[in-house]
Amino acid sequence: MNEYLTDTANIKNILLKHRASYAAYAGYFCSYFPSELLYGFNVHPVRIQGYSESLGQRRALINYICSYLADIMNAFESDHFSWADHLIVPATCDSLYGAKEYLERNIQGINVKMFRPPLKFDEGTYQFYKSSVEDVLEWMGSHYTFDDTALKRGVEMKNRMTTGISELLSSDEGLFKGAVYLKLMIARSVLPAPVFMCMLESMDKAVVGQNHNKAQTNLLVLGPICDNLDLIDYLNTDHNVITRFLTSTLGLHDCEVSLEGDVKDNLISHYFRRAGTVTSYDHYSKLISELDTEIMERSVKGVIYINYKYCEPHMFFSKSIKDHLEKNGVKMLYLELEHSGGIDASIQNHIDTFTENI
Amino acid sequence: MSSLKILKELLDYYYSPDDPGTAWISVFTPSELLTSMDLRCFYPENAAATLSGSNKNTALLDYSRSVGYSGNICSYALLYAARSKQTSKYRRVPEPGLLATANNQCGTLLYWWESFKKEYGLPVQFINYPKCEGEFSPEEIKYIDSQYVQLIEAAETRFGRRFNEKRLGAVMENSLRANKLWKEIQLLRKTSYIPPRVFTETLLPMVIAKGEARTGDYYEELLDEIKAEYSGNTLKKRILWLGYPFWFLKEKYPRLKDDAGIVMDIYTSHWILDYTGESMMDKLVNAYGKMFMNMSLDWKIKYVESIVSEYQIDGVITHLNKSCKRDSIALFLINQHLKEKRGLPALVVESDMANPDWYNSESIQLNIEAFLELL
Ligand code: SF4
Ligand code: SF4
Repeated sequence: MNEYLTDTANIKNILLKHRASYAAYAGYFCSYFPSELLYGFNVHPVRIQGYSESLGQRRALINYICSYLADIMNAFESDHFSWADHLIVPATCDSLYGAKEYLERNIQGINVKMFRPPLKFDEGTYQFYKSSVEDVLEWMGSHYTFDDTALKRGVEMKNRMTTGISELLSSDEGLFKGAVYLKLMIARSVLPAPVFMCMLESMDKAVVGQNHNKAQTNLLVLGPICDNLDLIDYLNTDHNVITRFLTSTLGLHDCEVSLEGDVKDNLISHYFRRAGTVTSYDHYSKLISELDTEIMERSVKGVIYINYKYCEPHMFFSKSIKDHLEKNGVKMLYLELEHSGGIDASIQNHIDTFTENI
Repeated sequence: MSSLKILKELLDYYYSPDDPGTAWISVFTPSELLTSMDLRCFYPENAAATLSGSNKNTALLDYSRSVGYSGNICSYALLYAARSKQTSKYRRVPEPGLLATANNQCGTLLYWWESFKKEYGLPVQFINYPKCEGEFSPEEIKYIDSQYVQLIEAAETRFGRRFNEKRLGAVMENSLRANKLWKEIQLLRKTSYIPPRVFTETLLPMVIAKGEARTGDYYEELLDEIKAEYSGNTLKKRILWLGYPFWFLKEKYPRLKDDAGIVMDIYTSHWILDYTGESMMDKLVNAYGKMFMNMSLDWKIKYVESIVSEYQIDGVITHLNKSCKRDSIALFLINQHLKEKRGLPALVVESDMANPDWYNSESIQLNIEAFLELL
């Protein structure tokens, strides 16, 4: 599976190879926009992933933007995103807000659209969210024609991808299965369906299963989008890592969208309800209780919160979680890492000392 | 009465220990709605800026880090998290009976207020403003309006008071008067050089007491005093400052050379709000929804360009503020635009508005001096 994901050039090449199957590619950030809607335009939505390889020095402007986006912005300037025709950027956090303004002004040949994610949950906000989605659709509609059947086909395909993951992992509600789960979820949000299904078929169920249960210490890893696969693999070497990357990997039950009735409406209300955990503090208590259950049921011994440098939502969020966990006697290690910094000896040391002490 | 005397009265009221019902709100939340219900508004951002100017600033920042806050969150929040270690004056601030904030300045406020929510067990009244491209659509106005109504209802329930439109009218009148005077004072900068610290030193009533009658009195006095003191003051090199001042510096801005000075700044001018509209609610939608930080980049660029020409600016210095990401990135892009598209000399200074650890005095001074030489 790594061959599909670890090397940025691979994703780019895969996408370029399949270009003829789609009218266009639209990159998107975070999981707030009902990306499946784009299938209605025969546009393939590609979740923008960060890059583990360093793309050179941070530039002055992006010094204080989160390091995940800093790498992505560098990557835009160095041609890694040449496959992208459109870009949908939700105003989820201030870094993304700024990134949108920066990309729009500094990257040629790409259409950038801002999108308003829901920041709270009431009827007024739902209408506001819906009109923001419709605004994106209108913008897409000025380039391509919408077709309901194509939308249905796209959603169906995406649901099939979800079921495929679930079958491979023989998952009940056991959602958070370490490195493999995380990687599959990333692949699901990036690869064209035929490539993804092909990858899934080539994976050996037995090997995947084994891969999950080899170690004794259960660690729960929290944090924002984590595509630092090296780090996950490192953690998974000696420990059984249960990943729950708050804004990127949702449980599989959160991914299936109903095909009954108006699929467009289903998608919008589905995404509104499941909107990301960081901004939706209304969900905080739900999240905390899910965490507590997870910790108990899986005998989690410790929590590692991996944040990216200058990712402010998670700086605040991790503090709340830490306070909560400590009240319940669960230790948490908080790390703030450069996105492309890899895992050097000092980080390994931190992790090892932490795991030895739990 | 001199402006200083009125200011003292205002501050005595603001920091008095009695609690008429206190709402902790961010500085661009429509305070008029709450003031009209005789609630006192308290502004943690303002308290944090004051703390940054105290000699305990680094100790407070260290304390917050030691209890588990990341040192990279907005320094206002970081400083204020150490408030239990503060001096007695600020400890007297009553606990919140209501929490309200908005996203018209940044995303940080929501997270910051959520930490108050956990601490005080109160819900946060959060006003979700659509970004403004120039004018709001009728749907957007309706959405903002409905959130103002929710804020009023929350205050009514919480404090058992009734909202009274007539009383709001009186508070709005005060606000509009203060706003008009603050604008007039800022406009004096077109023709006379007034040191920028004058504006940071006198901004406070605009921030904490817009709706009070005495605030207008204060600015009326101040206008005359400034005219008397600075009329006819001129400068050779006229600088526009984009971004926050440095609260921990005595003069709030770095030293410039004698023949150069900051003639205008896009920070204290944020408090010139656009109270246009038919109804009072419309006025409040525009005032807070169209505050600079919530406007689109294109709008901001046009606005800054107009300042550059009206204030005959020779060069721009932009403070890229580690705390304030959304604002800084926009200001950086404006800086870039002025430099590349308008050929205006423009410099970027990287630091932080409230954390002196991020202020490299030597290199900032050197950069500024080299920049001024080029003008
Ligand atoms: S990593 Fe954090 S700051 Fe960066 S885009 Fe994601 S939520 Fe925003
Ligand atoms: S991020 Fe900026 S606007 Fe927001 S509270 Fe901090 S300094 Fe103020």
